[in-house]
Amino acid sequence: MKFLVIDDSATMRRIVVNSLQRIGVTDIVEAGDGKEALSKFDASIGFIITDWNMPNLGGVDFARAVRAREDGKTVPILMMTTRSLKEDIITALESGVNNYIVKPFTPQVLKDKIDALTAANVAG
Amino acid sequence: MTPNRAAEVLYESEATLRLVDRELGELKAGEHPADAAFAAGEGRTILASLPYILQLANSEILQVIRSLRESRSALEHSTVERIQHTHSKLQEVTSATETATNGILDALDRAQGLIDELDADNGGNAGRGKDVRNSLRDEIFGIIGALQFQDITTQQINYASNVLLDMEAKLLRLMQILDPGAGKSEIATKLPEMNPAAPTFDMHATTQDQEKRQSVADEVFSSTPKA
Repeated sequence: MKFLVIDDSATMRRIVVNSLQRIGVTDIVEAGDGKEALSKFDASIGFIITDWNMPNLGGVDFARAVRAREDGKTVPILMMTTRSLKEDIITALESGVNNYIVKPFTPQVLKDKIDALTAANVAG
Repeated sequence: MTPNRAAEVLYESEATLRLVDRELGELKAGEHPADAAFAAGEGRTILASLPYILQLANSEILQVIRSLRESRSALEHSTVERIQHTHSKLQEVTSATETATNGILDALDRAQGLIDELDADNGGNAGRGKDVRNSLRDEIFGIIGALQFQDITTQQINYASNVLLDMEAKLLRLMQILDPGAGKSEIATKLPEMNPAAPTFDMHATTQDQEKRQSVADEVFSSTPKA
């Protein structure tokens, strides 16, 4: 399955990619913001991990844009952000995000969320 | 100019202008008692001294303007310039930590590669050597995870920078109010424009209480029915 990792911090992208590789994910596409991610998104993407605060197009607007597309209705979207106010989390949920990780993340939490979303997507 | 002197100048200017205003008002309205006598006596004296009064008022007003210009200049050089310098220093810190973090990540990648080579040399044999190599991988992975601090502190610095830029913009507006005729100085023109590609941040970004904050997110997602 191809993963799309979106974060404006190159450091964070490397950390997420490293964590994914450790759990056996090798097909990974990276983007520095939502705008770049939209240009790289297509039906081959099977899982999205996105930051919230990014220049040009943030994670919530990116999620809305993906959900508005025919080929983006069901792809799992995992938001990974420092934002942890309840109203922010609800906003993310309403934008079409399937689950949420608060930074700094632990590899175990990342793995659990990916497993749960992948299983739910297969079942759904 | 000290604040006390500025207050004195303002007070004197106000008093002089009030005196001029009162005399002009009385002359215009013809309310002065005994107009005929006034025109011939006291009124003539006041009229004669009017140019002097106006000159005095003008001189006081010029003094106030000079004082405002001094205030503007002091504000610009001591405050605005310092804010711009601090903002620039914060950007340097962000850039330096990002470079250093990427350097550490590169080194950790190389270390992982070396462990893989050791594994290959030993044919992936089980035993003490393999345990040590796996422990080293775990340690390296732990260090990589800990480097998330860089993203979070960068957001905190970006927030602090943004507060400084906001203060700077407000001070520059105040300077324009103090002395609108002075135009934009070299320092004022350095004010950054709003840029959609500018660094973004979460003003509440923190490395603290991660588990507690994660549990809030988990609660929201588990309690909301799936669409």
